[in-house]
Amino acid sequence: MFRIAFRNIFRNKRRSVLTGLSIAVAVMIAVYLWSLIVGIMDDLFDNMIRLTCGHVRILNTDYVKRERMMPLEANIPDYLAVEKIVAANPNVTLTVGRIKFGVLLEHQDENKPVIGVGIVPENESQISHLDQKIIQGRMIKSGQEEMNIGVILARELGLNLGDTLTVITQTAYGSISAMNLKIVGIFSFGVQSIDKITFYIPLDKAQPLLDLDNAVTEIFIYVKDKDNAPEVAKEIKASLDQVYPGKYTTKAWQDQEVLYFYMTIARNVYGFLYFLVLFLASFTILNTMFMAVLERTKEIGMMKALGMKNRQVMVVILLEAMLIGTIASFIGAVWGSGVAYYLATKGIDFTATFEKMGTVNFPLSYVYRAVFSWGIIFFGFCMGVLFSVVAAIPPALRAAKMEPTEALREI
Amino acid sequence: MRYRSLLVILLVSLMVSPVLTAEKTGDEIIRKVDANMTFDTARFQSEMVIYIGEEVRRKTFVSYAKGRTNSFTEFLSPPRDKGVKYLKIEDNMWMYLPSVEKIIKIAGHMLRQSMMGSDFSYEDALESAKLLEKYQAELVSEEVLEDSPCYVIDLTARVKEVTYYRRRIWVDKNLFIPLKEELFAVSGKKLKVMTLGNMKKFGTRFYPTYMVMRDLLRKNSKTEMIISKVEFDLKIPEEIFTQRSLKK
Amino acid sequence: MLFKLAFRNIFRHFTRTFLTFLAIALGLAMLILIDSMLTGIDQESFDRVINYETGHIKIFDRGYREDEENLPLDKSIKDPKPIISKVKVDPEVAGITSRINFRIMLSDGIDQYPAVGVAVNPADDQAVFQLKQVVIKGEFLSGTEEAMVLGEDLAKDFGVSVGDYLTILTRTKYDTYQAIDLRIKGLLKTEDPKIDWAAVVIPLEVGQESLEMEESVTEIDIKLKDPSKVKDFRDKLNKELPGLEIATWKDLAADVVAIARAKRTGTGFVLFSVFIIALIGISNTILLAAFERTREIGMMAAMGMRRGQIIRLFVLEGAMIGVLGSITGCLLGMLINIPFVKYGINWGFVMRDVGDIGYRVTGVSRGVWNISMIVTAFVAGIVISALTSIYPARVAAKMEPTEALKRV
Repeated sequence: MFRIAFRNIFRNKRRSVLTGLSIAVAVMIAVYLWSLIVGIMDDLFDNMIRLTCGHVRILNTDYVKRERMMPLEANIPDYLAVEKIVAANPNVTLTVGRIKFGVLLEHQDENKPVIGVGIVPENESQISHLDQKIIQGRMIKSGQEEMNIGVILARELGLNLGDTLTVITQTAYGSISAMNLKIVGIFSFGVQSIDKITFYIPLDKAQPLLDLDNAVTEIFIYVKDKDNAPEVAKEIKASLDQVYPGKYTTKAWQDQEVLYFYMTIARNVYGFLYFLVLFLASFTILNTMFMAVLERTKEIGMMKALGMKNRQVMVVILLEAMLIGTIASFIGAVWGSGVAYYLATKGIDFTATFEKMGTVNFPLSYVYRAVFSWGIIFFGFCMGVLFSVVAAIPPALRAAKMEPTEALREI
Repeated sequence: MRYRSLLVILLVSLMVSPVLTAEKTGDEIIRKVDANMTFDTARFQSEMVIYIGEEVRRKTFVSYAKGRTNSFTEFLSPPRDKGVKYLKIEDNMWMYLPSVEKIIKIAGHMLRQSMMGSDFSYEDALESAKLLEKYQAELVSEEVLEDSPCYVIDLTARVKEVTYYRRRIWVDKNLFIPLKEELFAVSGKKLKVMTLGNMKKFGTRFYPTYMVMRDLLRKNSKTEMIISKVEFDLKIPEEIFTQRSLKK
Repeated sequence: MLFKLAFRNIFRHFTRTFLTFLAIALGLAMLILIDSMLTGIDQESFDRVINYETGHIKIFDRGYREDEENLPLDKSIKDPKPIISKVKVDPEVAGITSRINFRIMLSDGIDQYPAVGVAVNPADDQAVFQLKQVVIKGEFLSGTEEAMVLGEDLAKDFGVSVGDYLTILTRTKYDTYQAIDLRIKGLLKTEDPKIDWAAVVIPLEVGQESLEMEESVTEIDIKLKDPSKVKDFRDKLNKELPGLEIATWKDLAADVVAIARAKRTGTGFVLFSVFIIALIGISNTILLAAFERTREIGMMAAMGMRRGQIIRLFVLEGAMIGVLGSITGCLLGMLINIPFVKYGINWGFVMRDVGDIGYRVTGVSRGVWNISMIVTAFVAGIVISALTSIYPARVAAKMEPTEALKRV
C-alpha cells in the first residue's frame, strides 16, 4: 500500500506540490515566528535578570522604599558576612555584591544623570558577561582606578579609550568626593538603558569613593532553578532574619513589580499573537489537505473499482497525507530554521531608532533576535505532520465510504 | 542771657535724645548689626559638627575672609576631607578636591546642595550682600531670648531675586548682634533656623563663636559651627583669594 | 450568461467552494483582528501620552524647549489670555487650556522625593486632558482650593492617602525658596509612570501665586477635533504666533513614537507572515480545485466555449467566491472586533501574587477600527481569488479538448 500511496503522489505532481507548498509555508512561518517571539521574550527577561536584578536580590529594608533615589546610607554593611550566610543555602550558585550610585556628570552645560556601579569584575562577568561585551579595550581590574563605560554614553560625552573621567559624587554621608578614573574599556550590552547611562568601576574603589567601607548597596544572587527563585528568596530572608532581624529584604526577579508587569503583558500579547498565527497556519494545512483529498474522488472510485476495500483506501489516503505532510513539513522546517538562523544571528536592528530616544527604563535590546532552537523547529515539524494527517481523516472517511460508481461519476 | 536760653535748649535736647534714640527703626537696628558683624579681614579656626539622626560628623577648617566679598576656607580634618578648599569671590564659588587635583566651580544646581552634608547650602555660604539691600526691615516686637532682651525684626524681600523671602531676626538689644534668625519661604513656611551664641569680646567688638543651623526640612539634623580662634583685621595677602591658592 | 454558469458551478462543487471561501474568510478575519489588536496597543500608548501628558499641540515661550529638562519658570508665556482667546475660536480646536510645569521635591517632613509639579486650570483642563477621569480615590481639583492630586504610586511611597498633607518644596520664578503644604484631595492612576510616579497636580492659581508667576504659564495645551491634522495646525500656529514655539505631541513624545515604530516593524513582520499564510491558503485551495476541473474544462471546450470565455468564467468564479469570502471574512472580523474595541483585552493577567505592593493589574488595550485595513482586506480577498483563478484556467484552457476529456 505504501507503494500505491507513493505512486499516487507522483502521479499528480501539481496537486502534491500545491498541497505540500501550503504545508511547508505554514510550518516555516510557525517556526520562524515562534523563534522570533521566544527570542525577544527570553532576551527581555534575560537582560533584566543579568543586568538589573539577578535571580534574587538582597537589599537593606530601608533602601527598598527609596530605591529610585539610590540612598547610599541604606546599605548592607559587612556584606561579606551576609554573603557567607547566603552562600550556605544549597540553592545558591553565586553571590555578587555591588554598589549602585547616582552621579551628575557635567557635560556641555548640561547635567547628565548617570549610574555608576562598583563591581567585582570576575564575579560580575559570570552574571552579566561583561568581559564578553567589551568592544574596545579590556574589562576593569580590581584595585585600579579605572572604569568601563557604555558605548552610547562614551559617544555622547565625546570620550575615548584612554581618556580620564573625573567622577564627582556625594558619599553616603554627604561629603563631596571625587576620583579620576581612566577608561580602559568600552562595552556594549546591546541594551539601551545600560549602554547609555552606566559605567563600571571596581568595588574596592567605589567603597572609598562613597564612604562605604566593607559595604555594598545590593547583592545579586544566582540560584539553581530560576523559576524557584521566590522560594529561595524566602529561605534566604529567613536565614538573614536570624542574624539581622528585619534588616534585609530579598526580592526574586519575579517581584520586580513594574518591569515584570510590563514584560508579562508583552509576553501575553505575543503569546496570543502566536496562537492566532498558529491557528491560521493549522487551518491552512487542514483546508488544503481537505481539498486535496476531496479532489481525488475519481481516483478513489477507481481504486475501489479495482477491488480495494474501504479501509484500504482510507489507509492509502492517510499514508499519502502523511508522506506529503512529512516531506513538506521537513522542507518548511528547513526554510523556517533558515530564517530563524538569519534572525538569530543578524536580527532586526533598531540601533538607530533607540539611540535617538531618551532613556527607556526597559532592558530592551536594540537588536531583536530570534532563538535558534531545535525544539521549536521540531515542534513546527511535528505540528505540520500531525495536522496533515488529521486533516486528511474526514475526507478520507467520506471518500472511502463512497460507492465506486458515485465516485466515478464525479466531475 | 541769650546764651542761657541756648544752654537750656541744649540741656533739654540732650535729655530728649536718649528717648529718641531708644525708638529705633528696624532699618537702624539692622544697620548697626551689619556694622558689628562686618570686618575688614578675619581669620577663623572653626569646627563644624553635623548631626544627622544618630550620626555625628566633625570637621575642622580654617577660614580667611575679606569683608563680605572674599573668603578662602581649607578643611583640616577628618582625613577624608583634609585639603578640600573653597574659594569665594563675590558671587562665585569654587571648590578644590585634592584627591583628583581639580578645581570645580560651584554653580547652577550645585549651589542648592548642602555643603559637606551640613545644614548649610552653598547658597547660604555665598550670601554677602548687606541685608538692607535686599530686604525691608521692620521692628515688630521685643522678646527676651535666653536672658537677653532682643529686638525682633521682620525682614521682607524688597527685590525679587532673594533666596529666602522673609527672615526674622532676634537682635540683642545691648550688643546689636543677632541671636537667632529664622528663614522663611514665600508661603511663610519656616525653612531654617539659626541660633548664635557664646559671644566673645575681640577688641572693641563682640562676635558669636557658636552657631547652630537647623534645616527644618531634613529629618533630625542640625549643624554646629564652633569658632575656636578668630583674629580680626590682620593682614592677609591678596594671593590667597585667587584660584591659584586653591591648588597650593 | 457566463454569470449564470459561474454561479451554478460554484454551487455544484459546494464543498470545494466552501473550503476556498472558508480560507478567504478566516484569513481576512484574522488579518483584520491582528491588525486591530496591534494598532490598538500602539494607540494605547499614544493615547496615554496625549490624554495625560501632551495633548495634541503645545505652545511654549521661545527658548523653553531647549531648557526643558530644567522646567525653567523664567521662560514662560507672560500673557496667555489673548493667545488662548484667539486660538480658542479656531474651528479645528476642540479644547484649550494652560498649565505650569515645575520641578519640586515632595516631602512629608521626613523623606523627600523628586517630582514634577503640574499646575492646571480645573475649569478647562478637561477640555484637553483626562486627568479627572483617572482619579481612583477622592476627587479632582476644583476652583482655587489649596489642595493637590497626585499619582497613586507616589502617594504609596509616602504611605499617605486622601486627607493627608504633603509639602511641595520648590523655587519661585525668581529662585526664591518656596514650600507649600497641601492636603491630598485625590489619587490618580494612569498607567503612565510619568504621572503615577512623579506628578503632583495643583490648581493653576495656587501655582501662579506660589511661584510668583502672576498671570504667566509655561505652556498652552490644545486638543484638536481631527488629530490627524496636527502638523498642519502647528504650521498654521507658527505663522500666527511668531515669537512662540509650537510643538505637536509627536515632537514632544519622540521616544514613545520611536518605541512604537520599533514595535510596529516587529509586528508588521508578523502581519506580513499572516498575510503570506492567508495568501497561500487561498491560492492553493483555488489552484487545487481548479486543476481538478480539467475534464470539466475539456467538456466546455468541446461544447464550443472559447479559451477566453473559459478563463473569464474561472476568474468570475474566483471573484464571486472572493466576494463571498471577503464579505464574510470582513463581517466576521468586524463582529469580533466590536467587543474588542468596546471592552478590550486585559493583557496584564498575572498568575501570581505580585510582591507586597499589591500591584493593581490593568494592562488593558482596546482594538481599533482601521477602515483602511478592512477595505484593503476586502479588496485583497477578491483580487487574490480572481487572479489565482487565472493561472489554472489558462493552463487548462490551453489543452486540447480531447486531452482534457481524457484526464482523470
